[in-house]
Order: sequence, then C-alpha cells, then structure tokens
Amino acid sequence: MVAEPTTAPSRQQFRFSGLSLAITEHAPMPMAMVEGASHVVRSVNAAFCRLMDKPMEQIVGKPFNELLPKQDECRRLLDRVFQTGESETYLEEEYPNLRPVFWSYLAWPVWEQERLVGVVIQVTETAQLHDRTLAINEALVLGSVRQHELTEAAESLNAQLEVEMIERQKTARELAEMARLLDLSNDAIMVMDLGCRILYWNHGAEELYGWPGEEALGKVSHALLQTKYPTPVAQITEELYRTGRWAGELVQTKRGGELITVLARRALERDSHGNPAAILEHMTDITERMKAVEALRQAQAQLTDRAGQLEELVAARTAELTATNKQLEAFVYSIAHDLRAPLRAMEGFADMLVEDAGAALNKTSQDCAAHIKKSAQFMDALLRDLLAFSRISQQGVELASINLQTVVESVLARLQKDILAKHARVESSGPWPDVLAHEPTLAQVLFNLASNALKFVKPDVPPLLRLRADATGEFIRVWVEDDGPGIEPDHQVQIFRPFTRLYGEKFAGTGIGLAIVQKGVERMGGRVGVESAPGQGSHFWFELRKA
Amino acid sequence: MNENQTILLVDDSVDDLALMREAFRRAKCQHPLQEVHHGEEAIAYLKGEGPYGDRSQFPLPVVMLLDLNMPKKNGFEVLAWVRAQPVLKRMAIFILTASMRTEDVERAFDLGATSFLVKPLSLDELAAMLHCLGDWIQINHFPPLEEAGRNERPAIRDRWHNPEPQVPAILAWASVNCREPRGA
Repeated sequence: MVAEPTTAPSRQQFRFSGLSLAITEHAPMPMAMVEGASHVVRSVNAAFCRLMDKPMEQIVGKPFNELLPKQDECRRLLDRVFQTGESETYLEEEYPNLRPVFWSYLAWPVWEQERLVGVVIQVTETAQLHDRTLAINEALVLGSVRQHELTEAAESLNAQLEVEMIERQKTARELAEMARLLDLSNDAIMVMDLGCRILYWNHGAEELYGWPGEEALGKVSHALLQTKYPTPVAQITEELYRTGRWAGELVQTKRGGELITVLARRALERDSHGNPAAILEHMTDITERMKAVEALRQAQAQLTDRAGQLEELVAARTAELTATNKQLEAFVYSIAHDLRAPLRAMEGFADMLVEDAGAALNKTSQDCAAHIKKSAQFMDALLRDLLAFSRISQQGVELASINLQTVVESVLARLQKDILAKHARVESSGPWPDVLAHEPTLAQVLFNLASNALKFVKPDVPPLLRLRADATGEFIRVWVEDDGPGIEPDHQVQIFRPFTRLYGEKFAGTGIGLAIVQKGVERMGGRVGVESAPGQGSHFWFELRKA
Repeated sequence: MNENQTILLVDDSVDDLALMREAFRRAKCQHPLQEVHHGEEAIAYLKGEGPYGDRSQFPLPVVMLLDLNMPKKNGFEVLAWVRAQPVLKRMAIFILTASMRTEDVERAFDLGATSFLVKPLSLDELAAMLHCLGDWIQINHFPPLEEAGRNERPAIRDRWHNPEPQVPAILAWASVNCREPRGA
C-alpha cells in the first residue's frame, strides 16, 4: 500500500506509521482500508488486488461494498464497525461453483487522534487455504445427507412395521373372533400345521372325538385319532398342496376306543407369500350314514334277489299261461272242428234229399230243405268267424314292417269274384306307406272291412269300395269306405261287438266280422272307428303305427 | 285206363264218407272206392295184412284221400309211415280234412303229402273238387308201388298212351290244392 500524499484533506487526516504500511503492503491476506462513512477504498494491498483480480487503480476510490458479493451485509458490517469502533468478524459462504467458498471478513477501526476515520478490512477466502477442511465439510454434508436417507428409510420401515403390527393385531383379533364363531359350530373343525400337529381344536371336535382342547393341542392328529386313510398319505398331501383341497372318508377312533367314519375336508392355508402355512380340516361324522348306506346295500341285494326270484316266477307263470293258451286254442279249435262235421252232413244230406226226391217234393218241402242247407251254411260261417276271432285274440301277434300295398292288393284279389259279380266300383289310391303290423291279422281286418263294403249296399246301386291311407303323426290311418245305407251315431259303437247284426237278416253275415276287425287292430296296437250317417255311406278307419 | 284205379278213402266220419261217395257220383268218377276208418286200418290195408292181403279185392290205390283227425293213428302218422316204406313211399297221398290250420298244412307237406285239400261245406263244391281229382289222375304219370314183375300191371304200361294233358285240369287242381289255409 502506498500512501501517497494526495489531496490535502486526506493527508492531513491520515497518518500511518511506516511500519504498519510495510506490514500491510506485503501481507498475504488481502487487506483494504476504507475511509469515511461511505467506506471508500483508500488503499489496498497487493493480495487484495490479486483476490479481486483487478489492478489497484480500479479498486482505489470505489465504495468497498461494490467490490464484494453480499453488498448489503458488507455495508452493514462496515457501518457497525465505523460506528461502534469495535472490530468484528464476519463469515460468509458462497457457492460459485457448487463448491462452498468461505469468506471471512475481519474489520477493525482506524483511529486518528481519537477519531474514527476508517476501517481496515482483511478478507480471507478460506477455500483457498483449507482444502482439507472443505473435503471434511463435504464429507460431513454427504454424511448428513446419507444419514438423512438412512433416517428416512428407518422411519419408513418403522412405519411399515407399525402398519404390519396393527394388521397382525387386527388379524389376531379377527381370528380370535372367528375361533369363537367356529366354536359355535356343531361340526368338528381343526387347524393343523404342516406336520399335522393340532393348532386349533374347536368345540365340535371336542364333542366328536372326546378329547378336550388342552389334550388335543400340539398332538399329531393322525396319531391322536388313529386315523386310517383311504389312499396313501403321500397322495393326499400331494393333492392338497397341488389343488389346495382334499376330501375323503377317514376311519378314526374316539377317545373311548369307538370307531367312527368321518368325512374330512381339508383346505390348505397359504401365507402372504403363497407358501403353505397351515391346514384347515373340517370333519363330519358319517358313521350313521355309512351304516344306513350299508343297510341300503343289503336291502338292495335282497331286492335284487327277490326280483330275480320274481322274474323266475313270472317266467314260469308265463310259460304256464302260454301252455294254457295253446291248450285253450287247441280246445276251441277242436270244438269248432267237431261242430262243423255235422253241418257238412246237414248240408250234404239235405241236398241229396232234394235231388233224390226230385219232382216228388213240392215247393214247400223243397224250401224246407233249402232252409236246412242255409242254416248249416250260416252255422259254418259262424264257426269259422269264431275260430278266427279266437285265433286273433290268443295267438302271439308279432309286429313287423308290412307293406300296405301288398296286403291291399291280395285282399282285392281274393274278393275279385265278388267284385265282378256285383259290378262293384273299386277305388284304391296310394300312397300306401309301410305299417307296423301282423300280416295275417292285417289281411283279415282289411278283408272283413272290404267284404262288408261290398255287402252293405243301397238297393239297386252297385257297391262302391274305396281304400286309402292318411299319415297323421306316428300313425297311418287306413280308410275303407262304402256308399251303403250308413250307420246311425247311436249304433256306431255296438256294431263292433260280437253277434251284432244291425240290419238283422237283411244283410248276410255272422255279426262277428267287425268284432274280429276291432280285436285284430287292437292287438296290433291301433284303434278302429267309423264315420257315418244314415244314407251317407260308411267310412271305416283303423290306425296302425308307421313302420 | 286209369279209371280202374282204386281210390282209398281214409276217414273216421261215416257221414263224411257217405258224402264223399255221393260227391264222387256227382262228379261222374268211375274209380272204384275203398274205405277204411282209421290210421291202423289204413296201414293194414297198404301192408296187405289180414283180409287186405287179397289184392284182387283190395288193390293198392292210385290215390289215397287221407283225413287228419282220426283215432288209432291219425293222418300224419299214416303219412309218415307210408313215406318211410321203400317203394310204397311214392304213393300219391291227398290230405282231405276239415282243418284249415297253417301248422297242419306245413306239417303235412313236411311229411311229404302230395296235396292238401280242405273239405268244403257244400256237397256241390266237394263234387267239383273230386272231379278235379279225377282229371288229375288222368294226366298224372304214376310210379309202380311194388317191386313187381313186368306182367303184373299192364294198366300202368298203358298209361304211356294217355291222351294229351288237359291244361284246364291242371288249373282246376291247382285251385283246390291247399298251400295255405282257405279264408286265412
């Protein structure tokens, strides 16, 4: 610092010893002297210039606080010292390049004849001088940050633990609540660990097995209960671990030694990581049920035996019945057969009588002989019809698929002579579907109905015979229609009864023809009927199943 | 020629036999008739046992009309017996019965009946049937029924000179021969 004598006032006011000048001039610490209340820089030393990185001319004469950062602080510091006359130290941090720089300002007053004229400021940038301190500082900061992080982590962990604790306490409370509820259940419920040691034993289990809770807890369940498993334990465990469930029947022993059968249902409890933790087992005593099942099985076996016996009995009876039927049929047949022989004699001898007597017989006598013959013929027809009726009622009727057309044609062929003789008009129209029937019976039915149509005619009108078939659902309805005298509604049921001849002697016939038709159709599983009105002809129908 | 041939009637019913005789008469059938009344008698006749040994009086028939329902061996048994004989088995046997049962027809043909005829009610129908039979006998070629010498049955040799077969006769026979019971 060169104290040049400049303007007069300054020179008069300031007096420095040459020694102090020498000290400050070459001091390593930057120093500056400011004068007056505005703290104008009067002199600086070389170190100060180096610090500011400015030449002396640019510094001297300027207000001090313009030179440094934190201008206000600086000024306040200077003001204080200037006013109080006390020296002060001020330390400030700066972070120009993210590295902290510490400025320390030492300020002491300059006295001139007991008057404060200025302040000497010594500025030190500690960063330049204390790298190691800085490093330590850094470490401390980092450490404090690290510590902050750790604290945070610890706190967060703590918070988690607290939450878990609360959860666990809640779970424990809930479990205890559930345990109380489980105790209410009548069923036996227990919880085992993975080694089958009993962890929980409800009231129902106490009642079922007879072991109170304190004696059951901690024991291995299958040892305590002498459990017999239906399948190997390894298999059960495998299924339980794989699917989380297992159910099966176990045979166990109660406290008193009594054997019971139990339906056990197990569920695997997993912890929050999904690992098996415990086994919940629910047991239902099914001993009674098993006994009932066994009793049922025995009863069923007995029933099957009985059924077998009954079947044998039925088979035997059926065989007897069939034999009886056959006998009956043979009986009926032989009666009819034997009764017909005298009829041949009646007919034949009456005929021979007439022929032999020749002219000797008058008209009346001849009529008598004719009458005898006619009666014989009638009785023969009656016997033949009765035989047919009996046969249809008794014989086995096995149904097969029959072509209607073939049967219709053969019936018409048999009636051909009659048709021609009566000049009948025959209308037979298809389609003729196949039906489920017994062929001879079907032929008999059609023959009787068709010959009726040819027989029951209006006078002087050639008979009409119309045959056709309808399909209605599962059934085929065959129509045999005539344009004869017709039948009153009141009589339409009774004509199907045996020996019913509605018109008496007016039309030939035994009165059994329709009875045969009805019986025959019924035995083939169908129905028969007629649609008719007096004067409107008769439309007979019968239904058979479609083949 | 064949008109000399005996027809053997086998039936237990006296009435039926009488009616048959009348029917043959009406049919103008010239064949001599022999009658037996039950199966055992029929077999005895065919064997030539007892009085039937006299073949001049009881010759072997050209046709046997055989009823089925008879005491002392029924028609089936007679039929079976005849068909079991070495030479006699060739005989023409016509079942003539009142039965129309299918099982009887089947059994008769199983046992080897030549034909199955059902006795009609009226005499006239029976006569027509027997007329048919007569025609058939005319046209049929009959085998010898015995191991006989060449001289014994000249009539049979003569049959080689029979008139031409008559088609209507065949058809008439076909209409009465029973393959199925009449009237089903």
